[in-house]
Amino acid sequence: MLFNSHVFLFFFLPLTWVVAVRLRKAGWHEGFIVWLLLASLFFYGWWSPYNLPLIVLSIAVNFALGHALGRKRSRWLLALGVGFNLALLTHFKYQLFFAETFNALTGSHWAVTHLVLPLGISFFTFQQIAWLVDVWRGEQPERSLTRYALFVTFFPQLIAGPIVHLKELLPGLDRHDAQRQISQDAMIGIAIFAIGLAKKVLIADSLAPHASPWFDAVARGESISTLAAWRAALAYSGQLYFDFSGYSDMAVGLARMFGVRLPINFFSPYKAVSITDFWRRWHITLSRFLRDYLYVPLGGNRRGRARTYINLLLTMAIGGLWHGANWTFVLWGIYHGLLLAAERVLGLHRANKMRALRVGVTFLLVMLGWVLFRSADLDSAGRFYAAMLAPMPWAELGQALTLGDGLIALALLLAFFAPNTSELFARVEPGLVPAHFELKAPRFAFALKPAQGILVGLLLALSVLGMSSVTEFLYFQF
Amino acid sequence: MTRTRARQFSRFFVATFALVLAGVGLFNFTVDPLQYYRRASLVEPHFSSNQRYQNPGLVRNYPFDTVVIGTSHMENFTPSRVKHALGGEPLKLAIAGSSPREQYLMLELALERGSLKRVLWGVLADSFEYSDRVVEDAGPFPWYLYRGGLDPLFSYLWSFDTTRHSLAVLRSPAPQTLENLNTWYDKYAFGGERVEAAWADMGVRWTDSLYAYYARLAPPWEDTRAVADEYIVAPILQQPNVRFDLIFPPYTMLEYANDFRVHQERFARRLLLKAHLIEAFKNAGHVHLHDFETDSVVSADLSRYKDLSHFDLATTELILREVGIGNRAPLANADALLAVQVLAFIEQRCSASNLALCPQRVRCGGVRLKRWLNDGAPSAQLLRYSNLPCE
Repeated sequence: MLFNSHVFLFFFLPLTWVVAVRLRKAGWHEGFIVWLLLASLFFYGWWSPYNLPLIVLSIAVNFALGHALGRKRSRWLLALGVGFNLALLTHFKYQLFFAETFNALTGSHWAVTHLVLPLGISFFTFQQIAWLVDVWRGEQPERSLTRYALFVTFFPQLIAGPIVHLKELLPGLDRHDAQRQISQDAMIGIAIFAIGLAKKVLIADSLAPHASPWFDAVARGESISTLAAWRAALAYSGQLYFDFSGYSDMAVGLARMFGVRLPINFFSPYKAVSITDFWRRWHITLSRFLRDYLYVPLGGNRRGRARTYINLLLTMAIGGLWHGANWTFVLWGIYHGLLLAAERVLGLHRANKMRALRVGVTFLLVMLGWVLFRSADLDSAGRFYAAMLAPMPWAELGQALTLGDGLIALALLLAFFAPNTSELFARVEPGLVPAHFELKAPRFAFALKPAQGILVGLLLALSVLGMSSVTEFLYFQF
Repeated sequence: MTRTRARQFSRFFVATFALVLAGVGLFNFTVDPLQYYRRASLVEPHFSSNQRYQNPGLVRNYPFDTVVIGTSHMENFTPSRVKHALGGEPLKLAIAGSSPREQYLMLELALERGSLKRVLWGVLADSFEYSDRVVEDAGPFPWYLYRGGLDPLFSYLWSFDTTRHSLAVLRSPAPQTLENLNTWYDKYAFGGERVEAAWADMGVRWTDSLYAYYARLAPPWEDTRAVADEYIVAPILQQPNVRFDLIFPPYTMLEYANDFRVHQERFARRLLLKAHLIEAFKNAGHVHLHDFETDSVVSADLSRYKDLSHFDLATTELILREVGIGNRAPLANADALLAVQVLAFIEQRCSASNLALCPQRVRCGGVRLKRWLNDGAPSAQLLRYSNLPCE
């Protein structure tokens, strides 16, 4: 079920919320948890009920292993748990990729079946790996299977994150003041959700026609002009940001409707002054996972410079592979790893001068990376870059500008200069914001004013009217 | 933050949300630009040229007992011409660039009305390249217009797109009537020069990288057969009380030759598909096949075409006449006959050693076809012959 579908907005969400609120008001906390779990499983199974046994199996095995780890902190047991999760992920997501790579390298003909990727598997796998490691590191394992299952399947974050820790999710569901906050939480949640839906429907989906046809044309072997290549790269940069951050906003808003503050996933990434800064602001919970469960265990920056750079490259390459079973993603990860390492070598990751120039250069580097990320294969990416690097017909530029270019420019201006969702909702603590971000509430920040109710109602209605063409979220495929 | 404030906020929020949706929904329902709920009466009827959107409204609200289904090749089969040749009350439901699944959806909608007696269905092998998909090249497929229930309310009435259409209906005169809806016979020039130009364009387009890209995507024959069974054979066999006229329209010889430039198995799949449908319907008295592919008088006469495959009004009328009389049942050796015609055309074209006239892949296709014909191999082995090395 998509957040931007009518069945979700007009049936699933109201029903789930009304029953949850009734149970909460009645003080039946266990019923509240079980209801949310059932609703989440229904939400997950809506698209393909065949995926349900898989997630149930994954939950059961991880829960059992977590408890075993709680009793005995064994490295072998942890390795077994991590191995189980990675095996599951590899089986569904990477076996074809590995087989094709193996065949290409050895000339063999190892045949594997192409499997449909179960929704959200990359997210719930990482989330459970993190939990196992946390338990191994000393955190008390959750006793209740129902509560643990809800931690994994909670529908606002199940399909595309944020990747949350158990200790971030369950306390929100257990809040003692929740009964008194129901109407506030609901309205704040709806307002955040409306912003996210508008980002997705009104901005990201409007940018897609200015990006996809050009990437698809290059994938078919057609050549495109320099102007078209730059336009498509810029449009895709905007599309991906508004699509994924819109989804994350919706997740944060939905969770808040049920009293839960999820960790935020974006904090104006295109305002970043370096690639290091970019990864603090883009897909924050994935960056956090990669840092805490991969980069740091690899030794982080504690084992000398050379090892630090290797760790960065390895972490980002794996992070790239997580996004998809394609060499384009691996190279995209390595590209970012190299940029991170280069910033460390040059000491740029701490510098703070020439801010505007640095924001511009960072965006340019990120955008060049998106070309690799979006391309169907390495060959297409190469041809796309060649089109971008061909001489720009500056004289024709003025005549070639279209309405779509205005839209792309407007979207990117919003990304560069507008306050982000966390800032807009700074007065009502929208989600869990990392401490290093300074939350400055703009003058018009959200404060449950009647005029804002009109604006939110208008925004949500306009988004619903723009939803007639239901599209998928880009990050679902990861 | 007090509870009172939240309640006040929620009142303004809900009121705005409901008012906007109710207002837009009512406006779109009143104008109903696709005539989904009723035939236009308040304003002059407008017909959208996007047939995937328009056709459900036509089926729901216009009278018919005969429908025309297929791709752009069937767009010139206007209601008046079909009526003149076959009688009845025809409605054209052709969709340009449609897949078999979309054509089946048209049939399904038409059957639901309960008045359907006859179907003219243009079967094009090329449309099977979409496999079992609906075509979304120019935007998402409007499933909500096909499902009924609450879907049209949510997605048709509460939609900016519909509002845009509604405003267009109110602002401008109707550009098309039901009779000339999406016809193109009078909008293009026809002739050999144009067809040769189209051939040259295809040559530029089908680069090695596009050929390789297409080779990865082209559905295998088994897939094509399964799609044909699911969306053509099975639904037709389930309707013994409806007469089906399946038409294999005539392409230019150049189009058949171009098959080899696109994919080495493409021509073989074309022959296999027709053979499969002939076999599937051989005992079905309500199904009549009409094979114009092997009419070399038409397919070799480039003056009838505007490009490699789209024929003129005279050819359309010829087809209608022949269908009306019940002519052109496929011959027993229809596949070999077309292969002989195409081979002769390729050999003649390749005699000049001009790469523009006869690219290497087309030459190879001719060589393979010749081997198949010389060996007298059955149709079932066409695919194997299509993949033999080209010496």
